[in-house]
Amino acid sequence: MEQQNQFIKALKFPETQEFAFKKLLADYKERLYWHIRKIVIEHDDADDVLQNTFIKVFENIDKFKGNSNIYTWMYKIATNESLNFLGKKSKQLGISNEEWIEKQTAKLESDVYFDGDEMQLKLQKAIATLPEKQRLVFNMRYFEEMKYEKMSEILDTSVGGLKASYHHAVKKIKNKINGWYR
Amino acid sequence: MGGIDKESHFRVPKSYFNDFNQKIAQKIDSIEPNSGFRTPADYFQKIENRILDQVDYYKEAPPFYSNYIWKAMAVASVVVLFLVNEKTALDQNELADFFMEDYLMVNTTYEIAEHSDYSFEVGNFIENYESIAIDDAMEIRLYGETPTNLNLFDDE
Repeated sequence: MEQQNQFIKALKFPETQEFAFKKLLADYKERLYWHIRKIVIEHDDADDVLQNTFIKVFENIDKFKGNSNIYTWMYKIATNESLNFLGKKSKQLGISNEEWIEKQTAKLESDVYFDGDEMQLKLQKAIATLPEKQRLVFNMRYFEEMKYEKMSEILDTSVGGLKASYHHAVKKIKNKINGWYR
Repeated sequence: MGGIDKESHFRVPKSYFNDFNQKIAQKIDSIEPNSGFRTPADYFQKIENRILDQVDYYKEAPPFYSNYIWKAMAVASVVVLFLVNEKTALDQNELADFFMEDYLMVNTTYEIAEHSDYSFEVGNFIENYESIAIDDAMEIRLYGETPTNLNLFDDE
């Protein structure tokens, strides 16, 4: 925690800010990218959201109190930015966030930045049918193997609620895939 | 058509459908996290510079420099100007007093009178001298006495 406080100070202090921010980018850009990519699906969209996330982090670093882990705080910003992005896009088309995601996932087969096999494609399509909260929880737990306690901080949901969401998500995905194979 | 066997003759391994759910579940569990999604080549090297290009350290970082310091400097300047002005006025008054005192101490009445704006008109002198007797005037002239230290109107 002490080390983190020193790092936060470095991010806020003009003399050391540039160096500290470069370190922050180097350490977290990939992890945040994959988190965002799972939510917005397309690479170009994930790229936009990742940039916005880091700009927001930089602009709001003075507001970060240091009560939580900086990674958790950045994850929260990335999640909000991704969901806001989905909200804007779906609003433009006059459809729901879930419909937008299903539309994006349907394009995965021809996406040059997706080379998953048939099973992976089916899994993505099944995930796309989940409600937003369950989709977030499934991605964070299944792909990123994040602990429920950390997820709870990011999504402001109780650990019990998250476990229930994950359980329902897994059940729905299995049923969906089984249905496609029958 | 009626005599054609409708059975497809395709067959499945024994208990295929019984094990199906378990097999799918195993397959799902074996999917590698992050697999499927890809990024363009060198994306993570390039994205760092692109984000850094959008960040303006000197504009964003020190609101201290941009707002507060200029306000504080403006207030300080006004205070300093006020104090300097006040001090100068005091100095000028002190200086004026000093010179006046020195002037009065060093110079004689006549020298001061020379610098005075008071105009010595002839009529003023005549008026003064008419009130003095000729003899007395002569006496003043001879002994260098001033009219002020003489009791001119007393009978001797």
